[in-house]
Amino acid sequence: MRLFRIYLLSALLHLKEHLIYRASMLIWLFSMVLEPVVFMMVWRAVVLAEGGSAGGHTEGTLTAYYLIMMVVNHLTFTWIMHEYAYRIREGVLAGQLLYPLHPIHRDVTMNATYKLLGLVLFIPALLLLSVFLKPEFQFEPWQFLAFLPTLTLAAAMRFLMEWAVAQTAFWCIENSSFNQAYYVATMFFSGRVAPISMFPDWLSAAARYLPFWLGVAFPVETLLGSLTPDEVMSGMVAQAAWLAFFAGFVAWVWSRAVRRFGAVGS
Amino acid sequence: MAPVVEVRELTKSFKVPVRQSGLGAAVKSLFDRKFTLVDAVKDVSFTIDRGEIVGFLGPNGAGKTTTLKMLSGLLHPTSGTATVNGHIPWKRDNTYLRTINMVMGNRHQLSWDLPAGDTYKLHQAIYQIPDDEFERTLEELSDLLDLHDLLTKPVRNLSLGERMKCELGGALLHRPEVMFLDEPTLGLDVTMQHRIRDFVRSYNLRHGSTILLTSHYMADIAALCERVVVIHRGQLLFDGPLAQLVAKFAPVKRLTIELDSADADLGSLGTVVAHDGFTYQLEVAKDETTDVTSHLLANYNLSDIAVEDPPIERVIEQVFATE
Repeated sequence: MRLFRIYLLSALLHLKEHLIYRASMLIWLFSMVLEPVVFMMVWRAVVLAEGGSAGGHTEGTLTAYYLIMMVVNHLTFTWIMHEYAYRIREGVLAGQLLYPLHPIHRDVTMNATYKLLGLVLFIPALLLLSVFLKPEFQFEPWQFLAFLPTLTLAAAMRFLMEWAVAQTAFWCIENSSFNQAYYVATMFFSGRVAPISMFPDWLSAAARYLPFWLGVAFPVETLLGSLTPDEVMSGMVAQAAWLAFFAGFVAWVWSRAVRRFGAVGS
Repeated sequence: MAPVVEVRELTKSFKVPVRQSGLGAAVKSLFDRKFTLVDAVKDVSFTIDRGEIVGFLGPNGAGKTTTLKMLSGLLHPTSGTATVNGHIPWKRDNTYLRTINMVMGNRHQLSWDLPAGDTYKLHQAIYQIPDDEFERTLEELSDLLDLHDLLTKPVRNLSLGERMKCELGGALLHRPEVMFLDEPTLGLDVTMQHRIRDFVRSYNLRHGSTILLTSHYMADIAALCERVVVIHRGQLLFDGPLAQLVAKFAPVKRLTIELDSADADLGSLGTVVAHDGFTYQLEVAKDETTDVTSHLLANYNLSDIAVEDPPIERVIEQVFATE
């Protein structure tokens, strides 16, 4: 009950904060709409050049893939790792550590409110782009039913994974290189640059067990029916395993990080 | 009665990289990194009883803030022990964190973009303060700190002093039993410094809270603390009443004299530290005070004379200069 009240009030505060910087938020969100659209256009051109099909995709299925990817990536991404070093350096974290509340809770609500607000742009963008770009959707009811838990697991898993990456800031004052390495890995293996079905078979098979793909493209492919029910089930088991791993890892890293914390700049 | 704060041989060392200047040294450090251990706090021991306000004094880098951060659970010590309210601070139990708070003059816990009142509501939920108690405490703090008109303005639109008042208000909503105040009047004008001081004093009297305070403004310490703990280069130099600090470390007395002459030469009697018209301020060695006073009375036409301890700032300067 206490945590529910904290989440509610914290969400309201973050909502107000996000609304204050609405122009900045709109620009960020617009860039997140643009990224999948750019990749979509590139791959549509490749498909056309290949005679209408490449890596098992047509123009229509690629469009559907990137449009759903646009929304799923928005709902699962975090930016905490990019500001964690700042929080440590400027004493923001020191202030948060004085509360009888783990700082991760604030990040959960800050993240969730941003996602909710973002949907105000992403849903119309999805509808509008669907009208103009003619995606091929083939939805079965079970795909919808499976999509929700895969999306929830993806968001939770990715949040913890990226929170763990953020903790590198306790060991390296300048951790942007870690963030960049993570960004490159996630861009490639998550299916954001290209659907992993376009990779060589061995790489594609390996990528399906990595948290990058499970955290982004797996829910997309589940909704679009690119995966069999068995593949979806085994993907969810892998998501749950990664989620448990990252939950344990975050707890382990955090217990060491606070011991190492120098409370500098505060 | 057991002390609220009990610190025994507390030490905090930081591993600091040693780098010479120049490109060659920078390249060399890639292959041969050197570190040195810096003791920010070394074997510091003291106790504080319930309801005491203790001033924590020391020059920049003396280890005051590091000690406060260890006591508030932000830092883990390298060695030594400490208990506050029966808890080991760096274990960071929620039950402990509910009974303390730390206010840092240069940092804020309030949301920068929102009115302080909004963040206060979140504090209420975090500290599980019942509605009626929250309203009562907020009313009391608003009266004491004159917050009423400030709580609805975004924090970034407040002046430094107003912001500090709001920070203090927020930090005290859960009525902490122990407060660590690190430079609470930093950068504030004299009027605002007075307001904050008055508030800290009345809060302590009303609620019997224990306060450990650092400040570069000796007026804060002199006004609030009967007892001071002096720390220098991480080590404890003095722990006792402020008056005793002055008696121990001030080797001089200050004589303020009014004469009938504006050009008297008093240099042979002591150090003339100020001279304005007919008024002279003379510092003389403590054991010569009686002789110098007698000499002045016998040989000069005095209209007034006052013998005082030198200002506390001078005493502190003396303490750190001699160590």
